[in-house]
Amino acid sequence: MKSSSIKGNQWSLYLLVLPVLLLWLVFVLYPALTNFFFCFFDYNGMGSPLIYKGFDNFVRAFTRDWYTFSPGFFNSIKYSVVVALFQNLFAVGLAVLLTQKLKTTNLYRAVLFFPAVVGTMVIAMVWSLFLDTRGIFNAFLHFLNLPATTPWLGHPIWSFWVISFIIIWTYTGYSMVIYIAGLQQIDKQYYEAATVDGANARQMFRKVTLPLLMPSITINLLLSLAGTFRIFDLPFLLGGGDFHAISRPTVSMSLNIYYEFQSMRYGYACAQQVILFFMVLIITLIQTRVTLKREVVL
Amino acid sequence: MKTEDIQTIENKAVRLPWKKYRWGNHPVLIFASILILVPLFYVFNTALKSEAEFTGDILGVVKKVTLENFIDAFQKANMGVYAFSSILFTFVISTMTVFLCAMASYPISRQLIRGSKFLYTLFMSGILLPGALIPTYILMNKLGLLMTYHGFILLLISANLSISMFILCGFIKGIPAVIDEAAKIDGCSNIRIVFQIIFPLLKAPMATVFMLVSLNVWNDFFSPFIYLRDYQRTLPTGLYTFQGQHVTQWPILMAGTLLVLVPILVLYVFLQRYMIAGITMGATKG
Repeated sequence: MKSSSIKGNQWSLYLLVLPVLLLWLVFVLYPALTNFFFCFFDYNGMGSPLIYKGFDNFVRAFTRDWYTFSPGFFNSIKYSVVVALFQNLFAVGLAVLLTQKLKTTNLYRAVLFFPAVVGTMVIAMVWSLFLDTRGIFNAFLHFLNLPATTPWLGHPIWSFWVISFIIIWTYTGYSMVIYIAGLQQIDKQYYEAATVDGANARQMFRKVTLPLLMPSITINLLLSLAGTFRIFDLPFLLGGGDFHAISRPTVSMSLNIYYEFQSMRYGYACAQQVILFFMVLIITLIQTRVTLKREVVL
Repeated sequence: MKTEDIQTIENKAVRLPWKKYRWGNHPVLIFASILILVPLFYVFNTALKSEAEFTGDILGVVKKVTLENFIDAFQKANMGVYAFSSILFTFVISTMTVFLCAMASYPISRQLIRGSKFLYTLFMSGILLPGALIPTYILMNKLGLLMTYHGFILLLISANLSISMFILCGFIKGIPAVIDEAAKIDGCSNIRIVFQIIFPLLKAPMATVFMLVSLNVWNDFFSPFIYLRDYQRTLPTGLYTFQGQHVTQWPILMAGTLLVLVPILVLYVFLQRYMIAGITMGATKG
């Protein structure tokens, strides 16, 4: 309801909003917009002049600098597809198990969610300790008399999958909680109706649970696809950090942007940021189109 | 069909899947839990071992508990300085975000000022806006805010604005407008309405926002890494610097990791339900 009849002195209300609005305009909107400006320029750091380059920064990524640009580009796609797929499969499975009558549901839920609460640095430290060449996992393999000299995080093929696994390990609990909330919202009467009609457990899952869970699937896929496409922290911390060349098989688009930023190629880095933005936009548009179509209207 | 018939159907045919206790679920869930808990156990296990015991026996459970690694973490890795920064930043940024957003959410969600709806959409779009590392860095530099405490605080408040506004505005909409309108008719000023009527009602979502922002700031590795000098940095970033210098001194590194992990763990043990709800709030309501 609009309370136009009882408006007091207006300025104090504007004053309440002002600090937040100012901060938001200066530190959120302005950088986001100027990114689309800088991407058309050559700008290498503080004080140097801006040189207009047109679309050259974009062309460059896909031609001259394709060799350094492409690994991050393809890895980001690979990361987001692999992680979104397995994270959601595991999360739905666990959520279904946890919404059935179990006395220990809360305990399991708390344990499985925990990695989403601790920060990426802690996760990176834990898994570095495990997957270091002389780490715990290799010590365990040695204990089992298996070959135990693989540098899991520096391996040309394994490292990508190992980091994908760690991302999935970290965020599955988060997706799971969203699925649990979705499952709990499904009205029990649909299951009752299905049982009366003689549906078995598998049919019930496919014909009742999945369609009614579609809103949760949409939001979870959106978060995992877009979030993983932009991933920076875990590949950075686990894949060799500041040392560019070592981290090739695990590098993501955000990492590339960071490296270009470190090399003071600001315009080119902004162009990559714009490419990243449109990739995320395209992926989420396709994904929401596909999943929204499958949401049932009751 | 008579009522008795329906009754019989319910009694006989309907054996609902959630009505029986499922032992079969436990093996999968226990396996998943072990997968989470074992890595965390080894953080504690390694941090409590001496360097010698660790190199001799990586896998085994700690035999002689030592606190040396924590002392080393403070002396060699400067963890005391980082811990101080972490606590300071977490507290200041969360408190300021909560208060600024709680103030602003009242006029916006009650639509008391011109363009309220537009402002709301504006803040919400922040959740979707792409991060812009380079322009932010250039801006911070131009404003002279790089490597300053106040610049970092302002930047991180801004980074957490959208989600905080989302939670607080959503909650105010659920408070009956009659309450503050009555106060207004009684001649209560806007400022007093916000601080004496709205704030007490907002305690729960303000606590949620405080917790959410605290976690974000406490766990943030990247922002201190980019925008602060070494001695200003927080625990996760300090740990990264230290790791670069002492690559395989795992016991000390794990002691440092515990300094970041344990405060969260302690809070989580007591407040896990509340924390889980708060962290997933953006996703489950939106």
